[in-house]
Amino acid sequence: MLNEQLFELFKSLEDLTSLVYAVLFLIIFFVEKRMSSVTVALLVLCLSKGMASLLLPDLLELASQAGLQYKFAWYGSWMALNVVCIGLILKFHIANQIRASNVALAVSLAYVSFTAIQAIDFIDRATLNSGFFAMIYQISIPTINIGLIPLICYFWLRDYRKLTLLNKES
Amino acid sequence: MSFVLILLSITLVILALVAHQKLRTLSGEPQIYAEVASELQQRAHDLLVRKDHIEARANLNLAEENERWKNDLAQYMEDYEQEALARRRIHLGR
Repeated sequence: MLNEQLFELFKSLEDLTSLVYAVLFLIIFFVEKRMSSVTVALLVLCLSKGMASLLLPDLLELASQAGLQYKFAWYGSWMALNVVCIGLILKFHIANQIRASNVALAVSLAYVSFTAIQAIDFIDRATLNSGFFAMIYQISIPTINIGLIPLICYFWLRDYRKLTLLNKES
Repeated sequence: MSFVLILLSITLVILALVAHQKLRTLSGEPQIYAEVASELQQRAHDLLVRKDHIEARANLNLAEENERWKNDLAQYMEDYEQEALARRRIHLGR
């Protein structure tokens, strides 16, 4: 029905997000011409998308088997990937001594919420098995993925405007 | 078994939150703004101390001292205004 069609559209939009992230990274990198907080965040975002698409077939096979430990293999590896991504953003910032921009904060907040959603869904599966959170899981992850794109554009344009004002002054 | 797995997933969430919190401390005002604000504050303090000294002693060259103090105060106010204008342009964009 209409709802299912909407969901299919949603899914196909989500498949495009990794491409949009890569294009955004290229555009911002060519405009700024240096490693900044924004480019680091986008680079990690692209990296995690690439890793996810590499891991997805194996993990799907693993998760289709019965047993809680296989379910944990699915959820746990996504959570570990997200934690590694936040850690990478943090390490890049510390190593290059750059100030965290709003874009980097938004990306890391998105990773935190992914991790939290996955943990909640796994705990639900391990204990109550109500399946209510499975729906939230399926809807919220594409929503965050798509919602990140306008957020990144907005924060970056605002920072860029500030930077040009700063350069005009001196 | 499931208990350990749940504990592990909660640990991962906490790890993510801690890393995010560390990243948040890296944002905020750049160092240079804080330095400028600190310097302006120090100059204002020095001016006030000098005013106190002038008022405390009734010297002969009081008028000259007072004149110098007023000049320094005017200079300080101008610097403060310039700094405030620059900040308004950067943070508010007008």
